[in-house]
Amino acid sequence: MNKNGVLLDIEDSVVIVLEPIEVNGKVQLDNGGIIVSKNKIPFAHKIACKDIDEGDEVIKYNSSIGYATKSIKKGEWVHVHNIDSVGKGVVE
Amino acid sequence: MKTSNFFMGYKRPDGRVGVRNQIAVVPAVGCANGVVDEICREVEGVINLKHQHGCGRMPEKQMHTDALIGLGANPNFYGTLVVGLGCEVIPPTEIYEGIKKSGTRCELLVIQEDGGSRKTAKKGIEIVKTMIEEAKSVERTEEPLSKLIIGLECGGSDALSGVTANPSIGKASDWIVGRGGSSILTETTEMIGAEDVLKERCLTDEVRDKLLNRISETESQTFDLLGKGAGRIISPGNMEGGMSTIQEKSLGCVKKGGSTPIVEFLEYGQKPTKNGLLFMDGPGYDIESLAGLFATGAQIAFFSSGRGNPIGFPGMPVIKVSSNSNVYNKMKDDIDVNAGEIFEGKTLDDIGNIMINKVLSVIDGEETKSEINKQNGVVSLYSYSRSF
Repeated sequence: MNKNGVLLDIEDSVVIVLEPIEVNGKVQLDNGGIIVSKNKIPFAHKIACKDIDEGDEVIKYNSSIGYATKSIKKGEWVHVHNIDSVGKGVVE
Repeated sequence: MKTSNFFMGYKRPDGRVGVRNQIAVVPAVGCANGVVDEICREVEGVINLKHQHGCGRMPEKQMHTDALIGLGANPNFYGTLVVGLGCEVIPPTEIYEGIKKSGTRCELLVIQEDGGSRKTAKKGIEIVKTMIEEAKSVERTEEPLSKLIIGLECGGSDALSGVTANPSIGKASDWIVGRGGSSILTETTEMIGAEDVLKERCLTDEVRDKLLNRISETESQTFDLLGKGAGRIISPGNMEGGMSTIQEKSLGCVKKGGSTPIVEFLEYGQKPTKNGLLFMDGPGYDIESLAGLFATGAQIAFFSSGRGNPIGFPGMPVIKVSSNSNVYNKMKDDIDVNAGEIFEGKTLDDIGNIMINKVLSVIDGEETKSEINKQNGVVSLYSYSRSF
């Protein structure tokens, strides 16, 4: 099976999929790891490669891209339905 | 990658070097667009810098004046004709004088003084025909790559833009900076969330403070306008392409800047005084961003896309880079380099080298896809106030 997932940094909690993934589809990483998808995931979207608690930061590029608005299990699709942005340095 | 430190360019009176040798017509105000169109219809190859600005706005007056001067004086132009109406907020003479000051051959026509639209167009046609003949006598000379300024732009991004296309552009940015030249990061909106990465990259405290302050101001403005939705100030296509937050977009966007320090902070369209990686304040909206980059004097730009975007810029070579092979295969006629090959056996360095070779052939005269397709569009400048 060819690699169809990209883990950009070992610290990341999400992986990018390189092809559309079906429910129970497998996402194969460079390091040999396999994630079984719990959702249908469109091309170039993100799948959780570890469990993320509600309120926890979501990590990509070894940096925070936002926080989980609900708890996310490994294998779930990660997108606007379950993560949101953290406004930094904003005077409200 | 080993390359010569020189290229064959068109040296201008102020020492800057063009990679094209064209004639431009720039209106001082949108009301002169019809005349500018007429001139450009009649004389093949003349570059039409028509735009909608020049009147009806005050806060941006100086910024727009400077940007129009910067565009008209871009070293890719041998000469520029300014066409004013006569009653606009931005004085046509100011644009004319500003362009002339850089040494660019420049002429001015004012519709209200030159006999109306038909007569002005007729005079304009004669002027640009003369300039075209003059430009033919400019020989290309061997010039150092340190004269090159490359604008860095991403538009219609997807979640792979920051993984393939932008880091490859970063390799090319490191290459030109390593040869004493410059590249310009911009799109302040797409810096929101990347502050931690950027602050480590600024050469001086002054550059860092200016950059962080401007990002913070921009973030506050997005919150004022959009409230809680500000965190998703990304386009619907970005989201369909897998990007979820502005932070995710920003962290991918800054990869275009490679690994060298940011040496100068520029206002929108401002001419740089230093060589190296520069930052220019500006919006994320691609066509306004490109206008600012070329107003600084950049002679060429990279433009990455994950969703696909055909737009170029009048008179300027824009190298389009796709982040994935799906979009490349769908829009081959619009894309110069496919960074999606990184998932098909090529390395980031391989694509970086393809980018560098592409820059070298484009500055040597090879047309980019957007030049071939004449995807010039309309010049659009960064604006933030309502018109009156």
